[in-house]
Amino acid sequence: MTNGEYTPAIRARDLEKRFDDTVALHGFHLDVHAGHILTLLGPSGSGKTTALRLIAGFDRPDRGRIEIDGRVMADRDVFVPPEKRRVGMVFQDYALFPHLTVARNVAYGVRNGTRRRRVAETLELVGLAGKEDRMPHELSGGEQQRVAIARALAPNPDVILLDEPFSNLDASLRARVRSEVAAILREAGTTAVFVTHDQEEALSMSDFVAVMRDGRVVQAARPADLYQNPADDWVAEFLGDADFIECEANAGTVTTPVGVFPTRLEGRVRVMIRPESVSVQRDASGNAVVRDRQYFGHDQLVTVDLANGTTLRARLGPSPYLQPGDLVSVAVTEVSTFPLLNQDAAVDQPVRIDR
Amino acid sequence: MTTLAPPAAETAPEPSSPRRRRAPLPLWLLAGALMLPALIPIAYLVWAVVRPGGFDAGGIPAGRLVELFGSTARLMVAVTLTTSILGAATAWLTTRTDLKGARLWSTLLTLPLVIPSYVGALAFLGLSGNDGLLSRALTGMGLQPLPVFSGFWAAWAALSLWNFSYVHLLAVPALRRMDPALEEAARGLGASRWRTFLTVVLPQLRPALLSGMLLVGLYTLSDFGAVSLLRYETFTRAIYTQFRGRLDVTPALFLSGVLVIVALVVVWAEQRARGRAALYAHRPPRRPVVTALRGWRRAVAYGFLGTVVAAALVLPLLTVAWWAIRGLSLGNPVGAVAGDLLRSASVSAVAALITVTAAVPVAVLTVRHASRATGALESVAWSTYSLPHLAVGLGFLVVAVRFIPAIYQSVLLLIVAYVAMFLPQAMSAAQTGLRQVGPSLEEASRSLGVGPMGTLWRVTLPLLGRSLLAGGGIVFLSAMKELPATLLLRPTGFETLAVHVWSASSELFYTDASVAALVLVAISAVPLYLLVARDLHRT
Repeated sequence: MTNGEYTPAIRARDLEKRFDDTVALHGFHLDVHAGHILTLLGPSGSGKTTALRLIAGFDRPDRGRIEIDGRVMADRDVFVPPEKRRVGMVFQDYALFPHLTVARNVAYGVRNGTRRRRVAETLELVGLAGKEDRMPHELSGGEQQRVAIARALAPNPDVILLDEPFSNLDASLRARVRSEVAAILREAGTTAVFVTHDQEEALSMSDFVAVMRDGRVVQAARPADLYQNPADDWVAEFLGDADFIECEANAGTVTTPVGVFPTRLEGRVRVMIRPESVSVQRDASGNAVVRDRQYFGHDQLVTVDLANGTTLRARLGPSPYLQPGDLVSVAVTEVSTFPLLNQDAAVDQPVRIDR
Repeated sequence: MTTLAPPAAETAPEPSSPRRRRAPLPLWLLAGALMLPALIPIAYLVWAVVRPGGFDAGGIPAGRLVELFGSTARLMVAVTLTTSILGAATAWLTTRTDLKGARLWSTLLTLPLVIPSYVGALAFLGLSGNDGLLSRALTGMGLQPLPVFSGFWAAWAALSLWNFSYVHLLAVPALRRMDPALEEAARGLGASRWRTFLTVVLPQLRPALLSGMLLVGLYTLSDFGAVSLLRYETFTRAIYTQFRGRLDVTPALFLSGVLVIVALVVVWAEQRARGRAALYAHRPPRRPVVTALRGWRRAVAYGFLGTVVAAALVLPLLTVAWWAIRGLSLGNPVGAVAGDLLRSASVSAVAALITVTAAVPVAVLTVRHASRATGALESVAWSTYSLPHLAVGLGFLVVAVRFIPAIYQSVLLLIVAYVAMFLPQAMSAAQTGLRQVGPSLEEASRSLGVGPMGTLWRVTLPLLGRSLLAGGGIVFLSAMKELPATLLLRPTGFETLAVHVWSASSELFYTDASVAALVLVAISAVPLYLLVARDLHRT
């Protein structure tokens, strides 16, 4: 939705960044809308942290332009230093000032007049009222992180950036802290950009997810769109379990061993089937055999061999108790199709995000 | 045809590769300007050797040069190896074993630093010879008195005993900061204790050991006090003899230039050997793996530490004290020492303050904006530090006489020389502190709206405080103890404690020398204890 007047909270165009011989970022485009939580998701070395540091102003792009709220922060002629950007940052190691109390950490970026009030407000927001006089090392990991968030929010930044903020937390804490942090950010109404390599984290707490590979965004979409309509099979696999079958498409439909589905492609295509869209029923006259079963408690992943030799995985609820060798019938509710040679189809133009 | 997708699991966080940021030009200019006072006299000395027709200046025969090269190198290698083994062993015993009193031991092992090499040499002289303390004890038992300690073995022992603490000081924090999980992993993979030490601990200790060896090696090359009093002929001793013996300074200048070039080669080689790893210390991990020493091993460990402390600390102090008391009981005057003390302390304090201030920009440049160019600057700084003070002092003297005669024979020249010579010590302390602070704290401050200067003032300096204090303490100590440059540059009649000790010792007035030496040691001990020893083993 781009008319002449709309300005996203962050706009990055054609960013490039090299470190010595390695190209960390190349042709990076991104729009982040005001008040949204966007996550940069990608494997190690895909350039997501580099992108974050360019937005924060810690590094200068070799090429391209960054705007925050319509103000140019970096391009060929301009480079606004981090302290002038009104961008809050939450570091992976939190980077709390060890020589300052919680209150003074939070007050650090706030101007004198409003300091006392803002510290109280933000500590209240993150649920740490009463811990003002503690030193950072006296707090638990989760509390330290909330101080880091409070400190970043206290000066009312236009944008807050979070670099793998949950990676230092125990797995058991992570899910809870994640939703707490998302709630805090939504309450504060701040535009936020997360960096993570954790798909579940990205999908569960973001308004938009931008998937990165090789220094650029390959797809940016709402979590559900992303999961259901990945731009290519690399994205599809990166986001979650998927099986692929090569099939023939003709006149708007593709015929697969598990049924006929609509498609916009023609000829040989790759059909992606998510385990969630596969259902398995115990059926003595079924034409599929259970090969393997991984039981997780809240769900189970069942691998079945179809009669024609195709292997599919199905994610089922905790109930039917299936064992290898059981005969079953298989039904698939939906599939996605991709062209056979999709590597060239990687998105090359600016990624537009529909609001 | 089916493809089973592998689970796209990513557990490791993205490694934060060191990202280099170009340094702002003013910082470069400032750091460069701070290096100049050290560079000018050194450039002058090198010029004295390499300028056309300069090689025969002074008429020093090539054979004499080879001789000096050989004797100096022999001493350097022997002392460096001895101190690295001694220092690594004492550091390991006091951090990684269950020996009692680790903190006390570590303090005692650090204290030899307060004994300058010429005081150590004085103690050696006062121990041996017909009138020496040890000789008297021996003759009291009906044995032969010891000959006067002198020559190679005496110089080797003196320099090793009064330098190994540098290695100890550097190795202790490195051993404490190591992640114990690595050693546990090695043991878990079936490696023996010894193999774990060799393949896991030692490689991690390497940077600390290398820095320690560099420090000691260069100190040995620079040493003038011990080799001159113990009569082992090295470059420095030969230079001083030349300088005193002739009106023409050209031969001394030429030898100094050669020595400077040798030192530069050593530093260059060392810097090539060292991996350029900017190690950011992580938050302190768990307690280190501790080896339980039992039975004879425990006895040997205590015996070893006891012997080292006795040889490096107790014996020399005892000897010097014995001579001092002898002198006082004979009614020697002590009034002169008070004046010496005042002069030494005030000049050193001013120099330390200026040096620490100057070290901050250099450290920020070399740590936060590390690049090939800053590496070169750092190596220039270390080179100037490594250069024998006698040679540098001579350079300062000649440059001052030629170009700014107004400051020749002034305290100002002495202070400028101290700052130039000891800047790397303060720089090193500030660098260590900066690496521990890590860049993300400063980035956090910047993103909270505080500019580079504000960040320096509100975050970096407060966190650097302890490191800077330690650096200042070390510079103060070094200036107090400094002998050769002071000897050359002091205004006539401006006698410091160090000069007093040396001149009295070389004239065999051991009693007089010992009083000044004791005062020097005592005043040096206070800041060292407060700043270094006390913090070293704090958890």
